[in-house]
Amino acid sequence: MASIAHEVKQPLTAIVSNAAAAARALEDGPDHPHAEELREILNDIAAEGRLAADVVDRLRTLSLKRPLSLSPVALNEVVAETLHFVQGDARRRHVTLVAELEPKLPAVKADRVCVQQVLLSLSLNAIDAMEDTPPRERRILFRTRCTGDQVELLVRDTGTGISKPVSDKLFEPFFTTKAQGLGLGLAIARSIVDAHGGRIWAANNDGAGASFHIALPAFAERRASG
Amino acid sequence: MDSAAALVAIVDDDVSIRTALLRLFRFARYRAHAYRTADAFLDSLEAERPGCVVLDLHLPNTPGIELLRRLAKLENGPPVIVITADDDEALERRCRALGSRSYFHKPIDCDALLEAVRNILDAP
Repeated sequence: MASIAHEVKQPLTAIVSNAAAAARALEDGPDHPHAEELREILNDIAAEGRLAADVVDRLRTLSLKRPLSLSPVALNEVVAETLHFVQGDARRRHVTLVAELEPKLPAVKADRVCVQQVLLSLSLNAIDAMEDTPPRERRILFRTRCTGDQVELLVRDTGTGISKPVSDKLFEPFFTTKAQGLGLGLAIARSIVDAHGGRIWAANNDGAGASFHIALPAFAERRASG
Repeated sequence: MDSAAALVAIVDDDVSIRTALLRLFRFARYRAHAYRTADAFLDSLEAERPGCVVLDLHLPNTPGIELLRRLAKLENGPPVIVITADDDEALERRCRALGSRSYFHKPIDCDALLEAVRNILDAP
């Protein structure tokens, strides 16, 4: 992936630099009848070229840059950190955050930073999904529980829910329903969860909104049985 | 054109980037020459020392970092600005340790590149 990024950035560099060179050339001929429009065109070319390079950089995060650093991670702690990170956003957008964390949850075998990234993605998506929900009903529930040899996390919102055509493509790269989104958040989340040997899925709630579920393998502790 | 004006040397193995940067410097009123390889550039030093080198790291045969190392050893070696499509922080630290004045990730912010060149060439 690193070498693909390199190969794509070379032509993008030529595109962006040519646009910059042409913009400089235009400074010599400001009386050109279309000077202003040409300037806008060149700015657009350069901006789109930089955007494409940005997409390449983000794509690289899909293929994990480094090997996962697996250790026992307390998922409840990661949830608490996530709540801390998103509480500012949540408050601004009138979203109530609720946590129902199972006490004595077994640790999961995970890369803490990666799991944090997945939780942040899900939380920010949930906030975005409730744009049209009346402020009083905007609520995200984080729930953890243990199911045998797995630990499950639920992120439930009261937003618009997931329509059928959307649900088929939800985790595909570059699929987005947001005006400003690249459509990589959930694709990256899935690649991270997959790399952990876990599962991520989504479903509509009985009431309003949708729920995202993550199941990660519990950290296998050798316990003396007896 | 003022033939005494300092020369900007571009070293990049990609012809499209060499062409684009030559155009950029020309329209910004600099004298610029471009070279495909580190060795071609080194050969040119006898004829004229550039005031500044814009150096890609990913070069055939002699890598850019090796050229940077050799230039650092020269007495009054030309200042170097590195441009690279690699995203490698360790490499960036090595280049800076070898004296590179600026370090640009491709695609390059051309206004910032021109400013970096101007700062070098305007320095007394």
